[in-house]
Amino acid sequence: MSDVNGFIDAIGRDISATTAPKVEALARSIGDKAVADYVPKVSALANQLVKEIIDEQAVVLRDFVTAAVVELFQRYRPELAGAIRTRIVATGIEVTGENIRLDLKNRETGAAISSLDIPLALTIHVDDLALDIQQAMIRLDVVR
Amino acid sequence: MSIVDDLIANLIQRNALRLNGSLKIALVAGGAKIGGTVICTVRDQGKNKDIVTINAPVDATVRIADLVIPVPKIP
Repeated sequence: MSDVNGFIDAIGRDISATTAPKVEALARSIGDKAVADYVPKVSALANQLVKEIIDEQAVVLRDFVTAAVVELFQRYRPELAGAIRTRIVATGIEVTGENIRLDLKNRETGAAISSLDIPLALTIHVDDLALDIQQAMIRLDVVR
Repeated sequence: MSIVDDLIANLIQRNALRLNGSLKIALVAGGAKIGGTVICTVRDQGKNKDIVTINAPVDATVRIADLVIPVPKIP
């Protein structure tokens, strides 16, 4: 006479041998069916949904950006200030900015909203220039 | 017309200048330096003969001031 554990083990072995393969086959067939039939449908639905969302929201976004840009330019006035200094240095030309900045002012009040400093410092290298004069003829004439 | 005017007019019409040489132009701090040699020959065109040759060394420095340009205004 077997004990309870042996009894349960025997049933388990029998179920594993007979029923489990059937359940596995059923699960596999459901999975294959889902992959073959439903996944493409869900994918197509998702693609269509995304396309419609983009189509609709793109117009909203475009209108918003356009209105925002128009409002920004109506509200603010950009101003450039400063000067560019050019000086001759050895072997080149040096260009430096002096207090160059971009000010953003309120068009109505003229108050400065923000200011952006623009640094400028560059050197343009210029090689020596050689000039050869060969048989340059100068003829003079009398002006009467 | 005086005799001097005639003399000068004849000299000018008769002679020509021929230039040879080489110059080197280099940028230095605050300007440009020009150096080299210019050879000037005065030639009598009537006789086809060189009269005077002038050898002129050139060593000059040109001062160029800083240039300040205000940035353009945004209309």
